[in-house]
Amino acid sequence: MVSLGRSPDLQAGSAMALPPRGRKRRGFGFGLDPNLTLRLEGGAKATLEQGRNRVVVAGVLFAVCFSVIAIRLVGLTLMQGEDVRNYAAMRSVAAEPTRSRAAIYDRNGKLLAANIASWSLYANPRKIDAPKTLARSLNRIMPELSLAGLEADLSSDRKFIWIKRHLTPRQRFEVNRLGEPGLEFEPEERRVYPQGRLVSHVVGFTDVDNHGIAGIERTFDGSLTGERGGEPVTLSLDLRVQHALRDELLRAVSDFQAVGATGVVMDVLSGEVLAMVSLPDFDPNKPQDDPKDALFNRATAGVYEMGSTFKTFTIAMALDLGVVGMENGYDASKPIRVGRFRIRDFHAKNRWLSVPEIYMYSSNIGAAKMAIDVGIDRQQAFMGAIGLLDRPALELPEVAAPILPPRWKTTEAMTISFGHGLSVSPLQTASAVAAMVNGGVMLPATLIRRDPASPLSGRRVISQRTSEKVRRLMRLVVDEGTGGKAAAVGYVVGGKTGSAEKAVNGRYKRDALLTSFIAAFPMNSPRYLVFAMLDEPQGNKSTHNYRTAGWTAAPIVGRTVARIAPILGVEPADEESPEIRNALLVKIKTREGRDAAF
Amino acid sequence: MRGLVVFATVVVVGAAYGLYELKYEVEHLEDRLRSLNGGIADSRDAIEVLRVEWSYLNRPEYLQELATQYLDYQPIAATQVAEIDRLPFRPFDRDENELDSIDGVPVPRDKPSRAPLIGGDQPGAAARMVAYHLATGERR
Repeated sequence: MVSLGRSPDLQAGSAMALPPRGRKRRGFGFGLDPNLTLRLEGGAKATLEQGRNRVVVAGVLFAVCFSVIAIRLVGLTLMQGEDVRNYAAMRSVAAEPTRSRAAIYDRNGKLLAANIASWSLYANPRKIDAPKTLARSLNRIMPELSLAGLEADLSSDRKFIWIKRHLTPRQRFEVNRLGEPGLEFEPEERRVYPQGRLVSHVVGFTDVDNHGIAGIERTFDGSLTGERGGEPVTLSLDLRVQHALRDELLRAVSDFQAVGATGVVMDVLSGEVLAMVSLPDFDPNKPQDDPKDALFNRATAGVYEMGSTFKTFTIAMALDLGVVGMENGYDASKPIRVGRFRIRDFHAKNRWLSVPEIYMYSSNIGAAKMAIDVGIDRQQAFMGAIGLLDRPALELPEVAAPILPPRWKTTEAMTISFGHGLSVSPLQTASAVAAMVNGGVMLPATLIRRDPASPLSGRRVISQRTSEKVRRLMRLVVDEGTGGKAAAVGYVVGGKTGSAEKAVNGRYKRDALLTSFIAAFPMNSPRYLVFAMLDEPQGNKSTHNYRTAGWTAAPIVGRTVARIAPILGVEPADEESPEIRNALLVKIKTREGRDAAF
Repeated sequence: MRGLVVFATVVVVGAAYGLYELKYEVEHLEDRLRSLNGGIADSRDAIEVLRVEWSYLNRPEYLQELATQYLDYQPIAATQVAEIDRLPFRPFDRDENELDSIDGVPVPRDKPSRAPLIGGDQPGAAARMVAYHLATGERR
């Protein structure tokens, strides 16, 4: 049929005669002399033609395919290189952040809470040959696991039992050294709080599965556990200030055998909380080891009658509304009878008292009369404006609403004027006093560090002039009045004492006091506020058995200020210098308008 | 034609070999990447643990205890802080002790000395109290 070679069928020489289809006159065949032309006839020729056509079609098809691939390649590498690289980067096995819960820091970047890798130990009892020996070994490594329990677990017929969650690295090493094939480790994560008790109430804690169930951990549970490891939280707390405050409170609790204490340090110009302590506290690494009531955050979840501290608000309100001036006063010579109550003074002077004296000697009678002159409605409105009638906004789940009096009539207006009948949290009190001294602007308290550049959303509650008068009055209390023990010389401290009998089951308990002191410094231009409160302090020899705020709570504040002021960069000033004396001087007038002699 | 075939054959063999090499090279690189990533993850774990440990060892409470036990340092008192321009020039014609009488000038305390570590219910308690009284100006 078809034969190649110089056979008789073939004729040498280039084909002179054009074949019927001109395109095909080229020789087609491998290894042939290109000058040879096949010339086939008949059926063979037709078959060959068909074959050629098929090969050409297939060739064209392949050529098209390869061209497409080539174009695509060029396109991918040259034109869309960026996309491809991104795609490759996305698919790669790059090291991702491994932690499933982000860290919490203080304002200076000190670590307060973090997740670390940990291992949990489980066993497959079916693979264990000598359960008794193994139980003994495990009990030696982890003495908190009972030997009997381990033996029973390891000799059971199950396939999976947890031995212990979250082993320490040492325990893991020891268990590994046993070389027991029936024991396995499950990699897990564990939340740790390196600062322990120091920040327990603010930071809160998580459960065994790392869900936040208290404090900041709970409030920011969502953002801490985002998809790519979550967003870290930076608190407004300053660890050093927190420690100084806690150290002083601890000391006061042991000195005065108090059942508890709480304290707050706040930046009055930004509302940031620099320290917040509640005693007794707990170890967030093992919160279940402490008694339940240690979990209670007295600073935000506890509401108390603050006592005389409220006179700050009463006087600021009366001064701001122009009801009284610094030179006016009230007759405090006789107790007031209202309903079944008798309002009398603890440090009774039994005479006419000017406004500064009412504050300095903490006269209930004077404050009550002032509140009546202001009027019930205006008093209520003012208390609302400084945030004492609503639940405050703070980044903690443990924030209590104040306890309001069932009705607000003359009696209540009088008692609230000196801090009875309205229970508020220490945090609310601190925020309100901050507004009294910072120039009169109410700022929302926050536990999250503020960007100093971002604008503050404050609300004016008293005028600048009134705020200046309140500063003078608070300074007077430390200089001459009940707060002398809060004086940290050089830091121009001003403040106010507050002692209240504890209300238990609706009755006042005479022998149980809540003593507090609230202060700001430096008083010529207040920057920081310090609040300290003791629950049921007992007097001791050093206080001549007094247990009122001036003896028990004021010293805490004085010592705390002396410790934190250098940390916070507050420059000490000469308290006797004319500038400071002029800025804080109070002229105390007698009833007749003459300067009183001091 | 023959040249083309030889060329194509060489290309095919070369490409095959290249591909083979490339494939193993990539596999090798991927192994390396995996092990590097594993190393990074391990290092990150270790860093995290070390950060926690650093934070734990820097607890203010612990530092305070160590400082009172081993150092002669004392908390800073208000009288020890001053602005630089309030410092006077060195008095060249005066007795050193006269410095005390210059008003408003910070004076050094007595040379700090280690207080006896006896007394108190825990180590360093006495020293801590002394340092403390000096700093807070509290008299008992």
